Amino acid sequence: MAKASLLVDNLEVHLGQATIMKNMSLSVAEGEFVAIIGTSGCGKTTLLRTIAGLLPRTNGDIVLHDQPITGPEARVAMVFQHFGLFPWKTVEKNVGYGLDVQQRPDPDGRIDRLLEMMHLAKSRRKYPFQLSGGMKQRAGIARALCMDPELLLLDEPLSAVDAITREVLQEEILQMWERQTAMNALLVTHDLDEAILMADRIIVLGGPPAEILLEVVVPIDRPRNPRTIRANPEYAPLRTRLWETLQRTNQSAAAVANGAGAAGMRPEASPDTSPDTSPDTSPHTSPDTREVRS
Amino acid sequence: MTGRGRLGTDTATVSAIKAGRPQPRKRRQGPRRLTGNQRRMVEAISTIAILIIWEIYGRNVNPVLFTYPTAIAGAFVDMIADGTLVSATGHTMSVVAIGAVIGSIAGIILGLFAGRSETFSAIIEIPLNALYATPAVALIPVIVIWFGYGDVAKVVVVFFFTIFPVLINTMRGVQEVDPDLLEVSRSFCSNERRLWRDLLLPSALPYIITGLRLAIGRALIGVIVAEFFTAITGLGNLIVTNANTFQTARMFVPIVLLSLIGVALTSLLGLLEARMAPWRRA
Repeated sequence: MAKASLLVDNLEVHLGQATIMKNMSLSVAEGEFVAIIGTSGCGKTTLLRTIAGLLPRTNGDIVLHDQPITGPEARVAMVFQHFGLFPWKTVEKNVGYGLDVQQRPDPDGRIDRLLEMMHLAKSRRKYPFQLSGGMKQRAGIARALCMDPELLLLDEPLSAVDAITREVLQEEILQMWERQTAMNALLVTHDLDEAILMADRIIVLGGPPAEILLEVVVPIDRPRNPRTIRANPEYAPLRTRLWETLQRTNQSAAAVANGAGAAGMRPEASPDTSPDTSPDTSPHTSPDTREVRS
Repeated sequence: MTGRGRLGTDTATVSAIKAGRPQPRKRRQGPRRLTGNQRRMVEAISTIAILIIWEIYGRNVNPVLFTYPTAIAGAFVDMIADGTLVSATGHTMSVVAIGAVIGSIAGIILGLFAGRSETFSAIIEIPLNALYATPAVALIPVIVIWFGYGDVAKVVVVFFFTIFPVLINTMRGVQEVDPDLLEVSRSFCSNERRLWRDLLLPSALPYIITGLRLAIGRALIGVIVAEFFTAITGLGNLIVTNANTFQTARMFVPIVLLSLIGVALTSLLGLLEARMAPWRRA
C-alpha cells in the first residue's frame, strides 16, 4: 500500500456534554477505499462529518495529503444519506451545484459526462420530487464526483433506497471506483455485504464513545462482481468475523446503555434471536442483517 | 312567491342530506379530491347560487335596508358614468399600493434578517408580538397626531396593517430551512451570499407568498379603516356618504369592488407563485 493520504490522529469529539470519540486514529492509503461499519449511535457518522470539517473537534489532527483539514474544503466531497438535493434545482443544476458554488469552470464537460454515467441524462431537467430515491442518490453521487475530490465521503449513501436499487447502485459505484485511480474513499455503512463488496479495508467501530474494534483487509481481488462475490471462499468467513465483532459491541453497548435508548432501539439484535451467529450460516439466509439501521 | 319555493327545495335538500348522514360511508383518507374542472364547476355553481339567493331575497327587502346584485350592477354602471367610482378607486388603490409595497418590502427585509440572526429576532420578538397583537385600528388616533389627516397617514395605516404578517411569515420561512441542506451547503463551501441564493431565499419563498397573501386582505381592510377615520376619501368615502343618504345599492358598489380586487390580487399572487416555484408539487 502506498503512503497514507488521509491521516486521522488522536481525534476527540464532543457533542454537547457527550464524548463521542476519544483517541481515534485511522488512515486511508492513496487510492484506497475504506469502509467503516458499526451499530447505530457508535459515532461512525460523527467521525465522517468531523473528517468533512462539518463538526468541531476538541482535539486531534485530520490531515489530507499533508495539509490539515479544519473546515469544509473543496478537495473533500460528501454523499449524504438524505441525498441533500435542492428541491428548487433541476437535476443538472444539482449535479453542477458544487462546481457552481465554488466558481469552478466545467471545461471538460464533466457535468454532462456524469449525468450520462449515472443514467441521469434523460432526467436532467426534472426536479428532485419527480425522481425515485435511487435517481436522487445518483444525482447526489454525481454531484460529489463532479468535484473530482481527493477524498470522497459516503455517509450511508444507499440506506434510504430500496433493496433492488441498492444492489444496482452498489454495482455502479463499484465499477466507477474501479475505473479511476486517484481518489480515496471513506464509506460509512451498516451493511456488511456492501462493506465487503466495496472496500479494500473495513474498520469496525464500537461505542459510544467510538473505538476501533477490528480492522481487516478484504482479501478479495478487484474487479469484483456483486453477483459472484459471495461465492468467493473468503467471503463467508470474513462476514462472520465482522458480524461477531458487531454482536459483541451490541451486547456491551446494551449493557452500558442499560436500556437508556440505545438498547431499546434494536431489540432484534439480541444474540439469541439472530440466525447469523453460527459460522456456517450462508449470507443469503440472513436478510435481517440488512435491517440494521441507524 | 318564487323565493318561498326555492327555499322550500333547499330545506328538502338539507333534510335529505341529514337523513342520509347516518348511513355507513366508504372510509377514505383525507378530503375527496376534485379534478381541476370539477373544482372550477363547484366554485362557479356556489357563486351563482349565492348571487341568485341574494337577488331573490334582496328584492323582497326595503331598498334602504338592503339591496340585490342587479341593483348593485346598475349603480355600478351609473357610478362609472359619473366618474365617482374611477377616481375613488384610483385614490384608494394608490394608497394601498404605496402602503402595501413599502410594508411588504420592509417586512421581507426585516424578516429575512430576523430569520438568519438569532440576536436580531430576540431584539424584535417582544415589540413585534406586542405590535402585532395590538388592533391596528387603535393606533389610528396616534397616527393622525403624527401624520395628520392626509394621504401620508393612510399610507402609514396600510403599512402597519401589512408589515407584520409579511415579517412574521418571512422570518419563519428562513428559520424553517432544512438543516440537512444547510449542511450540504456548508460541505460544498458555500459562502453566505450563495447560501441566500441557493437555499435560504428559495426555501423561504412559499412562506413569503403566504405572508403577502395575508397582507393583501389586511391592506384592503387598512385602507378603508383609514378612509373612515382620517380625511374621508376614496372608496371609504363612497361607502360612508352613500350610506348616510340611504343609497344602499350605491353603497354596496365599492364594497363589492373591494372584494373583487381582493380576489383578483390573491389569484394573481397564486399565478406568480406557480411561476416562481415550479418545483412545488401541484
